[in-house]
Amino acid sequence: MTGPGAAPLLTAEDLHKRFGGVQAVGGLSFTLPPATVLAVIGPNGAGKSTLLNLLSGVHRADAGRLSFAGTELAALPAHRRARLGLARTFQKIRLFRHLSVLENVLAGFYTQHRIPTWQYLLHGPAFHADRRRCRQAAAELLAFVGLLARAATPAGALAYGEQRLLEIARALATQPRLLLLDEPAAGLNGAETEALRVRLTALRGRGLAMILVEHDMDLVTRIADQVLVMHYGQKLFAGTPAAMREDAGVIAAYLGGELA
Amino acid sequence: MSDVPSPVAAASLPAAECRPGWPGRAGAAATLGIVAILPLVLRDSYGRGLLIAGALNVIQALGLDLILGFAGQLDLGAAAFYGIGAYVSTLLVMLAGVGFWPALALGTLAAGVMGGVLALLTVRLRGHYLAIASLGFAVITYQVLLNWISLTQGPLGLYGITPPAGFTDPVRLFYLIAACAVLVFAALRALLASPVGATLAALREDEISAASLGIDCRRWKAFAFAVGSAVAGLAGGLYPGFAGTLVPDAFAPADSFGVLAMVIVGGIGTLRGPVLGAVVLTLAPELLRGIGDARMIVYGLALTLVVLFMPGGLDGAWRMAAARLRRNQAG
Amino acid sequence: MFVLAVQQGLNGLVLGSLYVLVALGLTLVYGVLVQINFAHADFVMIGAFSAYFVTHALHGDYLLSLAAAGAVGALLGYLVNAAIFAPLLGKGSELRPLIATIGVSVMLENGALALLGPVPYAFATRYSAEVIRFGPLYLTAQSVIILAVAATAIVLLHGFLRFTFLGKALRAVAQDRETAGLMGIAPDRLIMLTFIIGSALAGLGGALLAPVLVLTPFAGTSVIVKAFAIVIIGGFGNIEGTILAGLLVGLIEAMTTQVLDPGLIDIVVFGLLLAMLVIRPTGLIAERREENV
Ligand SMILES: Nc1ncnc2c1ncn2[C@@H]1O[C@H](COP(=O)(O)OP(=O)(O)OP(=O)(O)O)[C@@H](O)[C@H]1O
Ligand SMILES: [Mg+2]
Repeated sequence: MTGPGAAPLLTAEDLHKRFGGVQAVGGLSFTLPPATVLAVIGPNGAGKSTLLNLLSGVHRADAGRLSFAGTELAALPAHRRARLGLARTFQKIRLFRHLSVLENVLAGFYTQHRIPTWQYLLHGPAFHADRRRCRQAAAELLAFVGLLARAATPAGALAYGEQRLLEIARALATQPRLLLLDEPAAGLNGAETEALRVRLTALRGRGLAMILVEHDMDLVTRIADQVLVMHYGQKLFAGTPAAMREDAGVIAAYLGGELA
Repeated sequence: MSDVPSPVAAASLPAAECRPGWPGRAGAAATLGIVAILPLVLRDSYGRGLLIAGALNVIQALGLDLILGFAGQLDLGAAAFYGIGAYVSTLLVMLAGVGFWPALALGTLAAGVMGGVLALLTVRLRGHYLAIASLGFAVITYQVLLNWISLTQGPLGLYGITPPAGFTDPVRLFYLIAACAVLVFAALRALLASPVGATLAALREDEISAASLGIDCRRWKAFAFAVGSAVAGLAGGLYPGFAGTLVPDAFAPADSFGVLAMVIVGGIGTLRGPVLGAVVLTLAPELLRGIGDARMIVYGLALTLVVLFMPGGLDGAWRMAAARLRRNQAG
Repeated sequence: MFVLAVQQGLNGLVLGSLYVLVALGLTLVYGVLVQINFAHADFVMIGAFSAYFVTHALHGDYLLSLAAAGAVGALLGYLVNAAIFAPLLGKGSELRPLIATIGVSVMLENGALALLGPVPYAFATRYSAEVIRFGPLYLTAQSVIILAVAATAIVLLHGFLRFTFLGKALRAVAQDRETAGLMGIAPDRLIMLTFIIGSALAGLGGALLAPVLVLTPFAGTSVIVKAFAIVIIGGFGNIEGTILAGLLVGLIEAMTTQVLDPGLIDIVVFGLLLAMLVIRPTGLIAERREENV
């Protein structure tokens, strides 16, 4: 797809983040080429979620550089990064629980409304055109994740697996260039994981870059182009899934039991 | 990719959020009709005073509900912005010779700006901290009104304030204030049916998620605070002409709780709720006048009971009853 | 001039320790429940009136009335927790309990107004007139009682939290509710206990304040508004911070009374509060904590 010469979409250099006495991320560097799926794996507490939080701006890095599509991220607050095309889901699902499924996705269109200011008070043709456009796009996203029939249901009333999918739909509504997924398969049963895999494969087919934090090694090996193994906040391994299976360090520290 | 459903039409979605229902066209017309007739039915000055007070309360409750119910920001300082609107507009008229209408606009603007500034100052705070900071702001405002005697005459107050030309008749003054209430209602309704409504809902539900969608939570909190406080300021600017005098005690910090009660009792996070709440809580104490000055006791009791047993308020109860009725008719 | 400053410092300490008592109740409850009891103010007021009636109507001793006020506070705390906080616990709204207790506060104040009228009650104990001199400095016996009772209460509370099993469990709940469950103590019992202790402190604080307060049904408000400021300046739920902030506010108030109109004290205290919120929203002592996402 993309040669090694293409400018990377995301570059992280020497990222550090400490919480009190815990060095959650300690000196992590990596690059993400465009249209690539990078899986981040590692034991509990390795700093995977912290890494996503540093990328999406939930937390500020203590030190290090981050650039995304040529823009320096370090100083930007989370909402500015979202506007640049970084979208994410959360390990502990954070939907707008009291809003309907449809309203959750519509909120994701925040950056894409094209309405003259006065029409917020006096709804004119541009207002209605905007509404039609967003609802159409939201319907397509809901159909993509299979939740169109649940559009009017409060998000908090969905089954767990449906909530995970809705969070993805909401993130996609922002038209991201890079999607960050924090353990999207956690808590899902076999059928739900398969439904998720189908969607992620489709997104990958469209050339959407993703960083996928995941414990499900089957999902990782089927979707990821690259794998980053984290251990105590540091990089233990980076490379292809196939190379990872051969890596002695990874096997010793993490994979051994699981792949045996 | 045959396993991924193909695009579909938005037609299969539930209706857009500008729901019809009450006060749909018929309801709105009926409400406006009643408002128009009321001052002709209540002919004594006491009744008309009550009507004006009710209309002012409706405006205040709508402003607070934008901040509290729609944006989810716990504002306990409503009385301060009401007071800022009242004093700024009145002092502009009395000391600077500004005309009533520009003074009203400037008073509204001043309250809005103060609200926005307060929100920006306290923007990192959530829930309880904001509640106390806004209460603190109300305390400071009240003390400034009391102590800046060269400007406000302190506790003695300002006297001889007249309504704007053409509205000295209480019936016309009522129509003016009621028209403002209707305008505020319509403007908020349009605003909240636009993407701004979804944005504030996202902010209210979860700030971290909202930010991940590109929403600048600081800016929208300040927006909600500024607009809601400006609405309170508008009510404040309309008040002194009706009262004839202006004293700081009309804006005591505890008065914020009266407005709060109207929003909660009527139904927080809806537009119909605060209107209902303001009307009911303006009238209810009058019905109980036999038992002394029970107004505030009634407010307190209503506030507590509604929060405990009827979280949707009157509007929520109405909606549930209507839904039940529809089910019964269907089944 | 120097003597005057020291004298004002002493007065500030007395005032500050009263604020600490009231604010500690708020902070304790916030620590375990992350909720504010707005009616705390009225526990102070009712505590003050309890002391008044015990000493004036029943001709009891002032020291006895302190105990009575504490007991009344404890009872009120029990009732408010049982009626409001316990039923709303876990309903996931930080607004609802606060608003419900605002309702309770409005009811209590205006109920008291209907019963007791707006005219301030004069409350003098036989200790108010007794002056104790230390060289050029002086304190009334009442002030000495205030300092002694407040210091005792603070030391006892501290010892309780640090050294008893129940106290440790309580601190555990404050840190995180699940761990406390593991210690084998039902969190709702601990919450009730905290409420009772915190509210007893409010009642006690009211009784100690009664002689220096303008004793009306709205007396609690002026105190609680400062207590809120103190709790925030100290860092919500942080006991050491609250003590420090309480004394600080007492000192500032005593000093500003000297140079400023008393009406301006609220402005100074809240100006400080707002400045604090802008500069250090987590309070004097607490360190920055980042939400775990
Ligand atoms: N907001 C926070 N405050 C304090 N400590 C934190 C915070 N976030 C993470 N940590 C700590 O940082 C370390 C890394 O946590 P992180 O959540 O990034 O791990 P993870 O790799 O995502 O683990 P898991 O697989 O369990 O999700 C852990 O020790 C965690 O306790
Ligand atoms: Mg994680």
